[in-house]
Amino acid sequence: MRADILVFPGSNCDLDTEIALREALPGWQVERQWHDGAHLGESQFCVLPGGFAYGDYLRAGALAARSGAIAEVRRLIERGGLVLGICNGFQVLVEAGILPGAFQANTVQHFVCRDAHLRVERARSPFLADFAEGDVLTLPIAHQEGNYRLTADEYRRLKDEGRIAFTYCGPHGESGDEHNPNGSYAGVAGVLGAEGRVLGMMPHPERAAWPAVGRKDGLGILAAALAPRLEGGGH
Amino acid sequence: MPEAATVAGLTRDEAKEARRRAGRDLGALEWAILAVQWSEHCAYKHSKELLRSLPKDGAHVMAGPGASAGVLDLGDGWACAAKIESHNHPSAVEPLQGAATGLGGIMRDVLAMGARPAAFLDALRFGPLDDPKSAFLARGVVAGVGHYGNCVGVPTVGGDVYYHPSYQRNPLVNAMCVGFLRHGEMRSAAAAGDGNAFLLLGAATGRDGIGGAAFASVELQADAAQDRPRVQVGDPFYGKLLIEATLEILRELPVVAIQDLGAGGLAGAAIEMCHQGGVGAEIELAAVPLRAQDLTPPEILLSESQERMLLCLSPQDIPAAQAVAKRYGVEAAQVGRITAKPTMRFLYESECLSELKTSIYAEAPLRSLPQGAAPKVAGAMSAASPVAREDLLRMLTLPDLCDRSPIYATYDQDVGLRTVVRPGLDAAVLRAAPGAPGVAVTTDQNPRLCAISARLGAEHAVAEAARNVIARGAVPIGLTNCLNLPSPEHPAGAAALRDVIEGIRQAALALSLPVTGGNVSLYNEAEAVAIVPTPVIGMIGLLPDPERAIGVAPSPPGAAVLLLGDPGTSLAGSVYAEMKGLGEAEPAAPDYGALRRMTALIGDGSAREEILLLHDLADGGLLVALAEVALHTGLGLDLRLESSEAAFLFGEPSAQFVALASRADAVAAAATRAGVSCRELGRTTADGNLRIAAPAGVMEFAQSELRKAWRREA
Repeated sequence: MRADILVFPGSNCDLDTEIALREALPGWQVERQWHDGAHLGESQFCVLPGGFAYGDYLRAGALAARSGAIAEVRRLIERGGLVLGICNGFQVLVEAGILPGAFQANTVQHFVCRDAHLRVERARSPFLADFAEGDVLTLPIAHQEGNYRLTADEYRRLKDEGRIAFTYCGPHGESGDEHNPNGSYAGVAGVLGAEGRVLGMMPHPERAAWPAVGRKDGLGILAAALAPRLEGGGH
Repeated sequence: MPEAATVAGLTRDEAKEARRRAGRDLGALEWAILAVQWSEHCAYKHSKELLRSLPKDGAHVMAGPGASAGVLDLGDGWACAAKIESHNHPSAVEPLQGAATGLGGIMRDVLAMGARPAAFLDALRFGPLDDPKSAFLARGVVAGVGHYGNCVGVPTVGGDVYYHPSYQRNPLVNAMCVGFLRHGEMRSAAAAGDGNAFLLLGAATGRDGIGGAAFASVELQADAAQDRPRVQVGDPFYGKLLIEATLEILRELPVVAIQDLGAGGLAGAAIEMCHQGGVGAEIELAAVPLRAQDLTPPEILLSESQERMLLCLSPQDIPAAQAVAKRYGVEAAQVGRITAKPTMRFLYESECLSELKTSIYAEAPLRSLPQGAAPKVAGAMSAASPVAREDLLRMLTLPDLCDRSPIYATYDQDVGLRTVVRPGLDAAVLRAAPGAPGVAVTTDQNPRLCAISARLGAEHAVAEAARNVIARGAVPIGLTNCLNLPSPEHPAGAAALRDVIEGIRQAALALSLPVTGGNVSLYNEAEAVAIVPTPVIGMIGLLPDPERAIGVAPSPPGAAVLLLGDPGTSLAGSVYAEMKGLGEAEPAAPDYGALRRMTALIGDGSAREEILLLHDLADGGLLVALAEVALHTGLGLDLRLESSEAAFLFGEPSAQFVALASRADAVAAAATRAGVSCRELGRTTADGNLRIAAPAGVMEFAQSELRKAWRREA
């Protein structure tokens, strides 16, 4: 079984994601692939990592979304593989039209790095197989353009289809603007593709795959690709 | 004196010496190079002799002063490269780019040692924030640190910030970078091998930053905005590509030597690399990739365009290095070759523009310092009135003590997965790699103490930095320093330079710490105001098992609260004395013996196992330290103190710590063995409130009340 991490010029969480995937997916082959010439034919799981692909020039994710590697990502999705976009990787998936929505600068107008609480929403996805609706996870965020925008109609449709994966919340799962670090619409922190096999999220699960220092809530998300979980497909 | 030498900013004697060494008059290009190489910034003309007095040897030292960055052995085949450097004048003129390129420059110094840059720390000094210009500079500098660090993928894990009127027009931006490497990966800057090639790797060369080193070597002028073109522009996206391309080339190819292009651009790097290796070079300026078409040869040679490295390697390896560079989209051009003859030949389209001995550029004549002593502080203090509970709340709102998270929350603190302990309290903790050893790192200096005595201030900066790494359970193994001072050409500035170096020397010797290098920034004066002498210390503490550093695991309610070390008996130099207007007096020198005993205590496994959190007393003394423990953990503290004296509650002793412990008796027994005094003050509680019973009465603070003051929420 093989997981691949796509590396664009300016990606800077690719090495971190490799470390975390090795922790989450013991026995898996984990590879980082430079975007130019990347081949996902043997892959079951592809991660688009965080960072500043192409320096976030034009718009965050806009240039990387035009890379030839995105066609490989689409083929992997068609084959039923798993795709996870983290932070800048989420922005790339949105710019590529693989996930809906758009991004703006955080409402506070500056970069924000801190732990955020996330509530697991009612959704069906291998990425959520480890969790129950209402679970509260603690994952770090680190972004400047994490204000995820949806229209009211888009939001309702995603909600009805069970494609809202995570929303920002307080330590006990409570909603509210004071718990929304970037102004995202309805506090959405992560959304799923139509089959639940593509997940885009602003928080960094790879930074919470380090149980020795008490950061562990990302492990379950990254372990989505473990074979037994593929059967059940969540709750 | 010829016109060119005047422009070069050299004295009449220096120009004469240059001609004497060359045996002829110099050409315009040579004067221009000399202006940079013989500037204070590059040549350390005023400080070199004094810096030689600093101890530089130690059991962990793998590379010391003279290398691009100091390197310390961490054991298990791992090492840590670290250096701190200033970018003050550029930040005064263009704060965002000034700070950003400050980070970039120090990052490339660490990269040049063969290390992967792993963390930044930023030591910042501004004027009071009620001055709009200071607020503008502070915003810009913080944005610049975030802009560069976040994008280049190196976390900013620590630093410190103080506000003092002397920094109003001359803010200080000191950036420290820490990197990790395996022992065999260490590189030097000494070029060697007749016929070997110089490869210029990184960004194409533009006209930015020409004369930057000379700009750094004079006082800031009131019309400093005119100097904006001398400020370089950083591109962290390109910097990231440069890191990866450089590390891959170092991994794949036998690179003989490497250095970053900083002050003096290509000329500076080539001269220093050749001088270190005792060789010369021929540099073909027409081969340098340009991003502006009409650059003249002197501009190509002296441009300080960012994100560039110079590598010395066999010509056979050039194609392979270029292939790596191409994949990352960075330029890589062979711009010269090494010659056994130790002269620098600069060519343009094969025509020789200049040939001069390498040593003429590299060995600037030193300047002597004017005599004079620092002005003495009067020394009488009035008696303190009884302490009131409002004193603590007011102190927590002071700009030098309040919550720093609005600054560091704009920095990526985690990227790289090495940050075991994030910023917030004492030192940050990094691991070199999963399962590898790590370090506790901090920067420290206290302008209040340095304003009273430069020498004592420097000693206390070392002591505070040592305390901060000790608080993480780390043993201090080396330090890097950034000496920010006023003009050395005035007696007071010269005295301050002598005093801070003497202070660091005393402290480093007393604690057996090597000084692995650093940076001297003189001429920090603007509009006739000189800065307080500001010797910033970057300390490295060794942690064989960083995941088990003190403070990684959360502390529970019901833990014992201990006071380790002798309590404060004086208010000299304290925040409290300043806040209450009690006057200034010289504090005692740090208690180095006590710091050594404290280091022994945290090395005692039986105590170490039981210590959950350790936090040193610094600005604000005991009560502030206790409040910070409550704020940091969210726990309450229910305590009984033996004294209500202001000196006990707010004095700032040099070797005292608050500890939370799972078992008080084990820590007390180990403290006795180590010769450290230990008092049990009380217990942590779940309610979050700070309750202090003292002879003069009980003071109680709700967590929300402390938090509101500390966050300055009026």
